Amino acid sequence: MRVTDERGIALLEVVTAGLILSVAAIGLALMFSLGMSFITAEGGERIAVFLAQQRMEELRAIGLARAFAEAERDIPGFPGFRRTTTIVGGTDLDGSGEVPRVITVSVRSTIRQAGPVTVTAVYNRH
Amino acid sequence: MMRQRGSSLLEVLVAAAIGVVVAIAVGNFFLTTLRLGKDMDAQAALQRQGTAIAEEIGRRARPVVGSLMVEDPANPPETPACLPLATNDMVLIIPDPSGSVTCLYRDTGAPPQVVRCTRPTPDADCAPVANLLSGSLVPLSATAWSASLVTPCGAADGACEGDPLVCSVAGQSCAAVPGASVVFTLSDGINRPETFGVTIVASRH
Repeated sequence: MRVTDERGIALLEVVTAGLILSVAAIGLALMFSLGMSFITAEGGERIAVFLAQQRMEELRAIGLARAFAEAERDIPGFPGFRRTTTIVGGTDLDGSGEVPRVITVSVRSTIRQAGPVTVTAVYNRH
Repeated sequence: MMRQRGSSLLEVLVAAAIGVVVAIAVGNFFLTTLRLGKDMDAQAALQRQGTAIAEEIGRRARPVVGSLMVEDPANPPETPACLPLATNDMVLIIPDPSGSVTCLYRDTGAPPQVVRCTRPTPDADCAPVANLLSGSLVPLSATAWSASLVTPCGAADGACEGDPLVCSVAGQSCAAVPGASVVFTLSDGINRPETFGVTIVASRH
């Protein structure tokens, strides 16, 4: 029985075990906060998708042939979201001389954790 | 060995104290984890429910796009298609080829709900009244709702003014109503409210 020698070690052991446990606990807690932030980002991303689709539908109302580009701008009623519309010429794949217009609406969030969302439409004269 | 009896009691006490502190910490962590897990489930369920409602509105509106209407309870038309209803917000009206109309609105009672009903004729009651927020795991309420028509003029950032209506942006129409936009916010009263929207517009090349 070398109890005298083991007294100090027992406390050290408990402290070490506590440290290891706390590292594991912090890891688990981080996992949950990460999960929560993913779900929050999902909400922001969904709004971004809606705003991009909304602009694309509005451009359909004007007519894609007459759709116009817009520099990055705020969206009324949706603070923190900014929307850009770009129109570029596509590739004349069939050699008909008609260059399709590639219309891209991109929405990014400045406050919520949501990546930029892009919706693209291609207009080709019939 | 006799000398160590007192020390071993101290050891037990210290170990017990540490054990209690650790147990409380672990218990707290466990409870927090449970609560967070429930919050995440509720938030995800809220998002699913809202997305399903937005899809439902889009699915009903798409086949009749171009003749959608909105009615404002604050300024009802002379011969309303849906009003009066228990709402203070704009009502989205989806006509049916049979002559009946489907009304989608936010019932502003307590708690506010997203409601759909069908009115076969202007004289009949709007029925059956379906609550789109029912069937959720937690009771939901609609904290905001707006329905608006999309016109080429509005899409071009113009305003319709005068009589007859003329768009402030040249070349854009105020008369054509190719679609509608609905935006609503759902809340379960505990977690962050989520906003959903759907815009349906007929294509004009």
